[in-house]
Amino acid sequence: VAGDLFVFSVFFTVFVHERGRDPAGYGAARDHLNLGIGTFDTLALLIGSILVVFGVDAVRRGLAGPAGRLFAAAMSYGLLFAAAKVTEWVLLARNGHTPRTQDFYMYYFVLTGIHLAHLTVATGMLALARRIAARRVIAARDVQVIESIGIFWHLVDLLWMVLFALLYLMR
Amino acid sequence: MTRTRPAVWAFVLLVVVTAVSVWLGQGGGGSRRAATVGIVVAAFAKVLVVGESFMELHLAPLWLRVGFATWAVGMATTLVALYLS
Repeated sequence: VAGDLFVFSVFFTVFVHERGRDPAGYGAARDHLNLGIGTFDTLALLIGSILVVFGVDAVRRGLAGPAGRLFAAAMSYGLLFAAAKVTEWVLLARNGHTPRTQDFYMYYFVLTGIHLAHLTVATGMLALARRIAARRVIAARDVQVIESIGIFWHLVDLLWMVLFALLYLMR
Repeated sequence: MTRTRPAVWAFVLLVVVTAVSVWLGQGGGGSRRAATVGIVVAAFAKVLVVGESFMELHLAPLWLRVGFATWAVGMATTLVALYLS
């Protein structure tokens, strides 16, 4: 988690620094992003996060069935996020906005791509959490593994909070 | 449910702050610079809420909580300073 925070801190700093060199160009490029999709993505991750909180709590209370369903629901929000993100990439590319056309889009595609890779891992880990929660007996060690998976999911959520602000909202 | 109630309030707060941020990003909040400072500060305020509530940092050792908060405040300050410079 600390490593990811450090790497993304560098990304955030470089992006804002570079943006300062061409605020008008970055602002104009930003206007071609789909704010509706960005906001949808944000809400999808937040809903996924609260479902993970409920799921971890259910595991701690030994409620395997509800925990599994909550993790599955959170996974579906992860998949919705991914589908929306890929849709936005395709729409941008169709309109001629690619990493080669403007520095803003280079940062946009790289940063959202790295973030989506993290989200894919987090969603896969939730599938593991679901399998662990389905065991007849959940050991204390299993609870710790599921708690760690939850923390990684929330890290992905947290990183998106900043990316959303820097890429979609900064004026 | 009682144990997760604070997280539900955190979720509601995060949705509200997101809505305010989108409003600022769409031209609300007066000047462009003031709105952007508000957007960055709001983003890291959300980061702190996610950390303290969803990641359960409120149950973690003090050094970890202070370290995380220092990172969030430091990043927000750095990005705002870069933006305004």
